[in-house]
Amino acid sequence: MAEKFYCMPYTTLFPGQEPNEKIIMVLRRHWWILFRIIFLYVVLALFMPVLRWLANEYTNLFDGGTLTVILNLITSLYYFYIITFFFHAWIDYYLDIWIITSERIVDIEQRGLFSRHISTQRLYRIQDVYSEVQGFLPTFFHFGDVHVQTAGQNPRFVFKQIPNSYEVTKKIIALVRWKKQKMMKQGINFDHTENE
Amino acid sequence: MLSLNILLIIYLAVVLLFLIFTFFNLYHMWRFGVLEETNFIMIFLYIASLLVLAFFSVLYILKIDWSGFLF
Repeated sequence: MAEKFYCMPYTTLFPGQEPNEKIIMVLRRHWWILFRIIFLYVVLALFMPVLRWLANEYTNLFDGGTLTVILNLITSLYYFYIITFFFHAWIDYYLDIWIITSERIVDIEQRGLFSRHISTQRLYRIQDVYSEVQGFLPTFFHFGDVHVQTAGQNPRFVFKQIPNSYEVTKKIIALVRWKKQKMMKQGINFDHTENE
Repeated sequence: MLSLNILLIIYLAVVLLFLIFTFFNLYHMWRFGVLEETNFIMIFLYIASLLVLAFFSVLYILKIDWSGFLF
């Protein structure tokens, strides 16, 4: 029955996935967030050619001597770091991921290079879901936060800046309802499974 | 007088720092990235662009007589 919720082609995707767990949705931040990162680094990448052009026009720093080669090396270092920091920003974007499965929601957040936060919550523990779209660009591009209130130790999950937040909210609500009905049919009491 | 050797040492120290960053970046992508094509493509693009930059950097390094002085 969980098939009716499927929208992902994956069968196995993340570490710790349980054998019978089906992936329903994989969510990342909206492409606008990625676009902002790319735009910033494109500007930074263009900064050096402009600077060199100005130096060529108004100084004799690039007359072909040792100083020129050293300046070229500094330029190469600049680009090494631009690429590395861009890749780091990409990792920060790409590894922040929210997964909704047929059994639970998984919140994986990369916080810098050395901090990674993973929390999960069973679907039947979800008590309330709502979305929040604030500002001109989120309204225009249809992205926002989805807040998931649960009864567990980590009571609130926030899916940040995800696309189509209203549709995601509706889907989670439908999935939670389906899961609870399924458990009720099987005679499983939510209260007895609270401490799982 | 500033020896060019000192500049080379500073340059290599900065490159070493960059290599440490690169190692952790790649480690994160490989270890925690999901099993998607995007992940592999980004890793490939990252390594490829760094190799191109490294190639030109080595060319510049070979052009300099590092036993000389800057000033």
